[in-house]
Amino acid sequence: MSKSPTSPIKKRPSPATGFKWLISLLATVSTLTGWQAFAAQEATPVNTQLSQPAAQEIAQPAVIQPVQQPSTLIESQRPALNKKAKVKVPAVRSAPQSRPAPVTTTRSSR
Amino acid sequence: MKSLEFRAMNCQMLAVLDTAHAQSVEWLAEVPLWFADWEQRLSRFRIDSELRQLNRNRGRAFPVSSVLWDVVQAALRAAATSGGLVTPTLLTAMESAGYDRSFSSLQLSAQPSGASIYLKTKTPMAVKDWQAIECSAQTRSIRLPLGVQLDLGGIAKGWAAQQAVQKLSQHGPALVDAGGDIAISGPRADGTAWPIGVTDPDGHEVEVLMLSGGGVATSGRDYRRWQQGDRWQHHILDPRTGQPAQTDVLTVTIIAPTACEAEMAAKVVLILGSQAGLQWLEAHPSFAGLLILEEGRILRSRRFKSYVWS
Repeated sequence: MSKSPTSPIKKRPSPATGFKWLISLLATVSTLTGWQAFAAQEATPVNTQLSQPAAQEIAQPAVIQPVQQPSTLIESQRPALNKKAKVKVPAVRSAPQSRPAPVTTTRSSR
Repeated sequence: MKSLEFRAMNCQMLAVLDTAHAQSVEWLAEVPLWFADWEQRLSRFRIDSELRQLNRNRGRAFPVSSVLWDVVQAALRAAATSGGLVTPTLLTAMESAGYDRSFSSLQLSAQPSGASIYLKTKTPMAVKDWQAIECSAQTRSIRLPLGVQLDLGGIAKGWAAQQAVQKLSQHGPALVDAGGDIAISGPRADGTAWPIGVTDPDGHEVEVLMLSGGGVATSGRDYRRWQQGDRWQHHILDPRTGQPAQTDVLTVTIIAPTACEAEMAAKVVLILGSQAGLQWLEAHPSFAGLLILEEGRILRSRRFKSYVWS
């Protein structure tokens, strides 16, 4: 049986077309790989820049940050404490200290 | 703080220990035993005391215990510091003045006032020189000259108070009051001073002293006195006359580095009288004093006020 010329025939891609597709695929892979490499190259300097300030924060903040911040908070609380102390101190001062009770008494021998 | 009261040496005693330790009561219970031992050695009223043995053996070197040795040395130092006004050689003169028994014995025949007693009038005796007493540290022996007998009296009480405080202080801050002669080991456990009352002869509180150490003593002719004829006599003799001191001072309270020194200084001021007594006090920077005069006035030495509660 002969094949009619009108019968559909599946066209095979030509070797040239397949090669182009392969090149395109490789190019895509290459491009993606290149981006990753680029990203890796970009990340290194970013991390370096971040790590240096972080080290400074560890060394310095013990002197500057923690002292300044909490002291601000304490200062904000002090007025309340001082107000209480001012109320109490005069009250203590106004109360006369009583004469202590003697443990014993010196006297002529008896 | 724990305390214990007891009687010894014919006086009321008080021992105080400022600690919350569970054994503090047991430690205090030892104090009367110490006093009993010291009294047995130092009393002139107990016929078998070591002091009486020394007095009986005058004229020759007599070996003594470390207790009697220490108290005799303290008495001789008091005699030297006081220029002989406080001397342990008054016994013969004291007995001549009528004070020949303990007051607890004499009070069996006491007058209604309690502390006032009639005694026979006797001729005053001259007081022997304390410098004639010979002491050998090497053999720990004492030789009393013939005619000399010792009465360690108030010095013995002051010494006992000091010894008791020193022994108690290994357990905590301590105070011992030996019939008015008070020794203090140091500040109380909380670091504060001990409040010590000073009263007048009627028992009214005159001052409260704040003392962190040392000693305080009061000497007076308001107690242990008796009547000879129409005159009141007392137990503090003036060695210059051999008779009870004639003075305008009724009682003297002295603050000093030790109870022994306080006892000595109080007698000196009492014998000298208010004017010369205050001058003597001001000339001795380690003493401070309060004088209550017969007329009722109260005088204080310049340094006394620094010890008064205010």
